[in-house]
Amino acid sequence: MKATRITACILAVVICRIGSAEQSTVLGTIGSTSAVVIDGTAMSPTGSSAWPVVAGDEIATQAPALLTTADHNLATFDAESRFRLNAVATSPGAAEKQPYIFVRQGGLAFDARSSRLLICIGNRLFVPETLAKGTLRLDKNGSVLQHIDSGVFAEQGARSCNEDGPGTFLTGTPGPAGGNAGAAGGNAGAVPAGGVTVTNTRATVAAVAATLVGIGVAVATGAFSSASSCATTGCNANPPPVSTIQP
Amino acid sequence: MVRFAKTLPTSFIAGKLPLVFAFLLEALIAVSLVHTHLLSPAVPQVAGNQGYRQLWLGNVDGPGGAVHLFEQALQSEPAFPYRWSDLGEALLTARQPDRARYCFQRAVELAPHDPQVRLRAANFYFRNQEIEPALQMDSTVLQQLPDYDPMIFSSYVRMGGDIPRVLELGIGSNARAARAFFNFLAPQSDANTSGAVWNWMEERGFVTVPMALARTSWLLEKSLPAEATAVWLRYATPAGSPYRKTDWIFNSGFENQWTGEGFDWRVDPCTGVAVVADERIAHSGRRSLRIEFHAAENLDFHHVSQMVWLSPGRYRLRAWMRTQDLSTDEGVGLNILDVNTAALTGTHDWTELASEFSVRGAPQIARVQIVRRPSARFDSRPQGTVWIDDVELKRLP
Repeated sequence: MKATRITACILAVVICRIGSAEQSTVLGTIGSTSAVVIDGTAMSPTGSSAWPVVAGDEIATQAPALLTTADHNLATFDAESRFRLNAVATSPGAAEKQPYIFVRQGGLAFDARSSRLLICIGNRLFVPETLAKGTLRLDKNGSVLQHIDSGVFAEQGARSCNEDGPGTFLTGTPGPAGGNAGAAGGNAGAVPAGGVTVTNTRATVAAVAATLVGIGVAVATGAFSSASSCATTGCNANPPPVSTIQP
Repeated sequence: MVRFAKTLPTSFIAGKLPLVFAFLLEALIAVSLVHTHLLSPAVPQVAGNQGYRQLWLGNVDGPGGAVHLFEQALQSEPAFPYRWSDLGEALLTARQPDRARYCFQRAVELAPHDPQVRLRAANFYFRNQEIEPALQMDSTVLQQLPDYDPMIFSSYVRMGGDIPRVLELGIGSNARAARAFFNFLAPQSDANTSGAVWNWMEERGFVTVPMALARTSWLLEKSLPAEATAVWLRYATPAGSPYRKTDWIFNSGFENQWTGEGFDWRVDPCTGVAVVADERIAHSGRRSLRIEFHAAENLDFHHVSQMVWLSPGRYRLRAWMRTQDLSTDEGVGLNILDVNTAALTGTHDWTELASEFSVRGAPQIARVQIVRRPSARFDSRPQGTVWIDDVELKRLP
């Protein structure tokens, strides 16, 4: 049932995008030691170490994957994570847009190096302030586990959000629930059963970077293999009922 | 060795200790020098790896940054295309697109037939919003090999913009890629997009018969029978065929193996029933359809069928049927819309079955089926054999 919903979701995204005359703005790149699945297509690291990503991409990771936004923010996703990347206006009516990450499954370590990050996880909005580092994860019950290594959250789950964006635009002022570095990461009211992780973000990012170097080596030595693909077949014992379709 | 050591006087070992220490120190320095040399950024592979590490840590600019390290690697291996690609990616991340472009151009010049170099160059162009060169670059990879088809097509769909430009620049005259792209889009696209790609392919003669058969089925699934009929007539119908001129049944004598696609006969599996072409018994031509019933259950059989697209008018459905030892009170006959022909049981030589019906109002899609209804009797499991040939659906004046 869940898989069906996911497939339908990906299909809906793709249908909307095919044939769109509007050119998508690249929001960043994603790279991993394993294929990253974007809109249902496995993008192999043997083809390119980092693939461009655009608004509307439905992304699934198999191994840890590093999302680098165009403005150098970093998000290191756990293996088996799923998220949708979108772009939302930085302020009401503004033409400028910034990446918006809607996490469906798994989690990420963030490093907001150059600007705020907008992360919707567990349908709650988290906004790490510039220079903040930390982690956000969904546990098996759908609760958000949050941790901040340095910096603060401008928003810490007080607002609801969905895959299209936060309910209202950011005001530019930090929310009242901003947690400080090293704090226990208490939840801001509405966050469902959040907790504290002990993840060291810097170590996570460094570890992923170290493993990703392997991709560079593989590419540099010219090693590549064909992308995996899969096909499904189905059958139906009974033909569809007779229809009388009016053209 | 132990025995040898035991034989050495302790004073001898003590006297040689300074020499041993000196030797160990020299060895340590030598190893250190080798280690330093090997891990020095002057070694391009090491510098490249460090460059990647810094790139993925987000350290792009300045001394020790990705750009600096990739430049060092490139200085050592200026003829290695991947070094140029590495530096190009770092430069683009560092917001130096012009220098990055030069790097990717050099990489492609050095390895014009390397698909990975071209894929990375295409990704550079996509990232830099230069869609036309991106499509052209990816198209050269499609010409080389199919391995990266899905990845390239995904980039086309997500970043390529409008379909006509993608087709012209990203596919071009590559018939293989065109077919692969169509198949990539088919499960996902709406009728308009799919139609645009199909028409483009038709104009270039890229459409194959199997594609046309599948396309017809897809159009029928999408409730577009008129379009499906047009494709079927263009690609699946042999020249001189009476199909849709005098007879609305395709492959009416089962002379060709049915495909199950579009307007051809479709045979769905049914436990206890075997459906085959019989090349020894036919009412006319070389073959007929043979259905063997060995059912362990009371069957509702309707598993041999064909779609027909009918404009308003009066029609006559006719078929020739032969039976052998066909058991139970429910025989085998034909059905269309709500009209049934007579049904045969027992043993009969070739017998004509026919029925007339009308299509009123708008054109209709309908299904001709060979049917055996469930029996209400105790003896309800059908056994025996049926042959069917020369199924016709003709429009009456």
